[in-house]
Amino acid sequence: MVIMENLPILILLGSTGIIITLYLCLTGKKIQKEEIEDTESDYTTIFGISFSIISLIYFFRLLMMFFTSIISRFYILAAIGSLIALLPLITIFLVRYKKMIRLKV
Amino acid sequence: MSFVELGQEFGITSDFQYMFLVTITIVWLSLVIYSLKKDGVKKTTRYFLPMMIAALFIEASAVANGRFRYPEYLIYFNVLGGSVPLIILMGWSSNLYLFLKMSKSVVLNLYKKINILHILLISTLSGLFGICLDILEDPLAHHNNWWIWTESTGGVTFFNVPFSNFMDWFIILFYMSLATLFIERSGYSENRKLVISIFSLTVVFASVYATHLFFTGIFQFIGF
Repeated sequence: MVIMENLPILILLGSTGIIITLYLCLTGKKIQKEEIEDTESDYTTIFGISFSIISLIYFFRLLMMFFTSIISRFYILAAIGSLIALLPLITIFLVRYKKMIRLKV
Repeated sequence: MSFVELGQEFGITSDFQYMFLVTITIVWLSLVIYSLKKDGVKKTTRYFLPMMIAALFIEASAVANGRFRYPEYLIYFNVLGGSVPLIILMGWSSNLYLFLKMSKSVVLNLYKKINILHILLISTLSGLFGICLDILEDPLAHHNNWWIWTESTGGVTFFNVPFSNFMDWFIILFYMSLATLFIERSGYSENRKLVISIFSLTVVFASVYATHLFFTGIFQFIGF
């Protein structure tokens, strides 16, 4: 096991890291308010349809992997894997759809 | 063995490796440019650099332990006796940014209270989203020799990819998201946040490794 072979150096690095982290956390002054990100700014509207840029990039990656599995003749994976990989996008869509419905009501 | 090494062979025995390289490069560049535009240089560094360092150590230790190997890439980094291609580090840093942002957009719409539970929900969802993509990506990579699982860990596999791989994806994304969110909401200056995010990697690395050992032990005990 590589971890066991390098144990002394890893313990030394780990201890140093923990001590420095604790020092930085305990001595630091809080100068900013807690940041809560506005995820709405990730959305952009093209031709009247609202897109999240992050979801589009994820979809591009998914599509490229799907296409690669098709040209690799790995059809079962292309079908099962792509459906599972679509779940995050479906979740985002459903949550946003629910929010839009709530706002309209 | 130097820290940075250039591969002598590229894509000879692997299929469609260029597809993987092009996809990850485009995704990574798009996310970095987007983050630079939206969050600025310091935040972008905090989102991408710690994950690249964490991935280097975690992946290199797995390679050195003989779990899998990365053949025929262009640029390798060597630590702890294992070689990891640059593209894998780019892939991991884009994973963290992608899944963190996606899970935030879900959780912020469902649970408005800002507390530890909120951070735990985002981190858990980030890990689950990661598994969803890896279920497509990892078997494809093994099928096309982008990386090769050299050791059969026994138990359950999914298209020859061990179950422990998906568990590790969850563990890594969960702890990295947790650390990123705690630091993000700490209220310290951006410079201090950046330094903390680098040094706290030792805590993340120890947590990832301990959790991996714990669950691997449990799954081996029940014969899963």
